[in-house]
Amino acid sequence: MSGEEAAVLLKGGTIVDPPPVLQSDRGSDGGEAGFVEDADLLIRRGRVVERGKGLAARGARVLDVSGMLVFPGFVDIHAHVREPGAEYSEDLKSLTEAAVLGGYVGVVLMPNTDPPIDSVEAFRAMQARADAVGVCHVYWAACVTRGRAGHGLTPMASLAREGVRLFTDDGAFVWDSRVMRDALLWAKRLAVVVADHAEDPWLCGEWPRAWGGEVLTSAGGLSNRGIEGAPWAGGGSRAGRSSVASPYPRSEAAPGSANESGYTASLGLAGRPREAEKIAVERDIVLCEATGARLHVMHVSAKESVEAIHRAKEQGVPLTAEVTPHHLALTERALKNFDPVYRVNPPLRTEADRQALLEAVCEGTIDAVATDHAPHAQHLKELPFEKAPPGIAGLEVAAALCYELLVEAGLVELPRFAELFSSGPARVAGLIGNKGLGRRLEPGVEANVTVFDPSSSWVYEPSRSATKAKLTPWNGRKFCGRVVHTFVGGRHVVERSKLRMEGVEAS
Amino acid sequence: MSSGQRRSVTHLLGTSGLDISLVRRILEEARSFAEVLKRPVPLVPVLRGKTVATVFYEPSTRTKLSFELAAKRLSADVLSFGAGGSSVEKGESLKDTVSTIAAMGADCIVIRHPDAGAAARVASWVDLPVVNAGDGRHQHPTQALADAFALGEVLSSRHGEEDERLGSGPAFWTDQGSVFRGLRLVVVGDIAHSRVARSAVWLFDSLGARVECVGPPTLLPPATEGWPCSFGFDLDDALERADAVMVLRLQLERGASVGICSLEEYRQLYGLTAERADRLGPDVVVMHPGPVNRGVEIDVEVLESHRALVSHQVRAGLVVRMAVLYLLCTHAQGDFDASVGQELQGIGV
Repeated sequence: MSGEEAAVLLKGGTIVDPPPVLQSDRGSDGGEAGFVEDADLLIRRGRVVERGKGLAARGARVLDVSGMLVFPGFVDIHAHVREPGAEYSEDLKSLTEAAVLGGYVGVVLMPNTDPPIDSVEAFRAMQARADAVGVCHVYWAACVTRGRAGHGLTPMASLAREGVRLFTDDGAFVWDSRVMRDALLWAKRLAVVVADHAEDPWLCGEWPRAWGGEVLTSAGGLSNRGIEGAPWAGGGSRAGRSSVASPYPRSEAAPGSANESGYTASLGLAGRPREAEKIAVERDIVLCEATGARLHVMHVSAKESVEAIHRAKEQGVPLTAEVTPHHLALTERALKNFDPVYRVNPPLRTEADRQALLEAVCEGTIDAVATDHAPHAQHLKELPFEKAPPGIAGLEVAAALCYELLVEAGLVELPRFAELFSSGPARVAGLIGNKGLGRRLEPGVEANVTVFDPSSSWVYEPSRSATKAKLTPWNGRKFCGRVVHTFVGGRHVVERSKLRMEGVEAS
Repeated sequence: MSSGQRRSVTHLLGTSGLDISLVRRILEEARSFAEVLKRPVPLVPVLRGKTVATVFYEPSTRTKLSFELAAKRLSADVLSFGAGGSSVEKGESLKDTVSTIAAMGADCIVIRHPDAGAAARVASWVDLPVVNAGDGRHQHPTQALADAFALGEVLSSRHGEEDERLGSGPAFWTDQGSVFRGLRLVVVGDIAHSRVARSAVWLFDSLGARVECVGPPTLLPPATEGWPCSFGFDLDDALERADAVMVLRLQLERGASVGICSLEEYRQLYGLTAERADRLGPDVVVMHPGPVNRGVEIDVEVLESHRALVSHQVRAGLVVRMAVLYLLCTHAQGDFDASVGQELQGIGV
């Protein structure tokens, strides 16, 4: 991690500039979004020191990147690590290695670990651990509520003082509107973001924990054990203990695991209806508008939610939204063989939804692509569909997949792609300029750089991937376009699409 | 097992997408096995030396016994597995369990599981024919085939055309087409949670019947586009058009209670009461897949009346399962392709 890198000259690439976010980013070219072909970038002592054509090497190691795209380093604001609690599914080392292989220089980690990141002590311990073993910049998000129970706010002020920029109970909707409003009121004061997993749990067949049921955990616990025995109180998790009697009848029925449609109903899968997402999004919009706080809608999946967000943004509500690569690429038709690698929340929806998401990415309703990288060990994805935990691992393919779906398909231009992967997510998570994240590649900026070769074709092989999630929808898929080099704060961590060992100097 | 050349095996996972010629073959084989069962020694040696494993993760009386007896009537050995009292209680996964059974040399796996798609997963893991004996709310294809057989016998006997070829009563298919063509089948009850309903809807549609599903709005599927049937809320209205009625069990264990107010109200609106049955035409037959919640979805008087095919369905289940096991364990590859787990869907646009 430490140690001075020798200078590196990236020679002959196409440097892509997203639209500027900061005033200081109005660089040499007047600050317009665009790209410069056949340009060189000189990196020294962790920073970009020179940018231009025909730069002299002056002792720097020269990397020929002609024909390749040189982006500001990618930022993922939605990744799940399973440390602590389920390190067999993903730990900080494997996750950050997967991240840099995918071109990410910074990741925001979700706090739904076991135990969750809901206290200053937990945050400090895990941030220290991440800083020690991570190969990219790591930012932990913290929970909105203690134990992700849906009630009882975490010490948001103290956590914000420690450096937390994003709060979320991701995996679970903050279903109590009073709790959500309180969180947003704090967020406004603290200038932090609340990100919400917008899915109404009742419509999805998951009784919220506080009423005796259990919501999803990082390990994929799906049981309704908590509601055993009358009168619905008592059982359940440590965090979910409550004296409130549930008004719900006892049911052994599985919670929703697929988009609700005639197709998935024919498969016998309980649904997670689109209304569940729309209701949650609309409520969040109302509270966002009322409080003026920064609210971020995670993994938007349905057409109606996109429309609601579009409308709210036009009215000036300060919310942002993200979309995942898998919702851009796949539909519910992928479930036909009940392969649980396709199980994810919110669920894969219809082609009309997918098209609406692509359109929203083009027109700017979507602020960022976020992976929702949710790794699970192989044995967990070898269960029957309804028993397997939801989640798709995507860090290593997100850029290649989206390049194909967005740029190759002619839907977005390169600067917008750079925005979706670097400055957009950095802005959403309040990380612009933090260690140089989301900044344009101008002299003086920390050298977070992702070099992408749009003509390199490759096949995603789980045996060669860094993530511990070996069963994914991407296994064996051919991609055209690949992350070749990743620089994190000037450190050359990925070289020729392989992790670069510390201290090993390539010739 | 995970990679390399896989033997091309065929499965019976559901009735959606099942080739009609295959349905016909199963039902015709079943008719010949019905003849076998009339013999003094109701046994044929066609599966001698083969082993059929019945792997049941849910309680079952008739389906498990029916499959096991079917296998024995075909001279197969039976490996009987129930999740209770097995290594499942030590936490063994479904994949490990079926892999173990496959490694013991079973020739066919009959699986029942509470999760939709479990049979399809098993089919992807083992190199053996897999028969879905009920997977969650998804499918229970041999139940629908049994119902078709039972109904087909009644309908064909009315048409009265003897099939000399098999010598086993009138054929289900004549020069005019199948006896199911134009049949109006009403399926009433908890459609949303019922695998029997799903299997019946697709099977009877492919046989040329017109299927109408009736139930409370909360127990119909929340979305129904692509279902080859019509839907209604009014049982009395639907019964006016019915030629056959399939009454479903109210599956309280799968969450049906969430959608209804009370069992009494359910009975009043959707129960096949004696009074409703009295209004049916004389030829209208009534089916129930069992087990019955007596006095809830159907009255005892109706169950015991001449129009009830319940014990007929059980007998039909046996011969249909003999036909399915026989065809899957001996057939030339390729026949069942339509029903087989298709290739993984391509990813992307």
